[in-house]
Amino acid sequence: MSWSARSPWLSTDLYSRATQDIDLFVAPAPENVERAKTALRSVFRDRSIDEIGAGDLAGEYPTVRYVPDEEAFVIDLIGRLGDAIRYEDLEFEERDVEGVRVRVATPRTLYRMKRDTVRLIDRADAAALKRRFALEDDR
Amino acid sequence: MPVRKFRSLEEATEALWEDPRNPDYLRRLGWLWRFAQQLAPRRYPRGVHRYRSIGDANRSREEWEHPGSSPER
Repeated sequence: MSWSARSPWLSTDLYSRATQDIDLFVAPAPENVERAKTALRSVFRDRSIDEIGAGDLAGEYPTVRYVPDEEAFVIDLIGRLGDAIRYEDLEFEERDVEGVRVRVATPRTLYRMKRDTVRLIDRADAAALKRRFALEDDR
Repeated sequence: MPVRKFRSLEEATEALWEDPRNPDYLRRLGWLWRFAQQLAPRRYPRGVHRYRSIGDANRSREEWEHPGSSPER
């Protein structure tokens, strides 16, 4: 499965802040979305996962949110950011998590996600990321 | 954890950031989420939700967390 994670602790090169969501960038090809669904089912065993359409992320719905039963967090599957940034354009770095190679989004990718949001906490995160990593606006 | 003093709230906020290379990282994350849920239980609408943009997804999350809030909030 081709995917990259934004850690629930706002992953960056060196630091992170606790949030209550898990963002997974998923290559939006239908067969890959099916693999993502299989992975979700293996953890949550929830039939509502079947509602995620194989073509959703590549089509009208580039963000699909799944809220597991009995959990207090959300999982966002993200196929692209806006019109300009596709999965292939994302910057990431690889980490080893208990023997599994995981791609983690870079600070610049997190900044792109958060800079235009309406949520004050996200705006504060964007400002902190920009300051800490000396990021420049690339719009 | 020892007492730490900060000159601004901004400085204190940034001090909360964690190093994900810490081998204890995921265990601490699990503890933090459980603790947060005990302090301020939060329930999101269960199941699958689709959005046309990450902005729409963020607005939906904002509405769940702060019902009736305006986009400028």
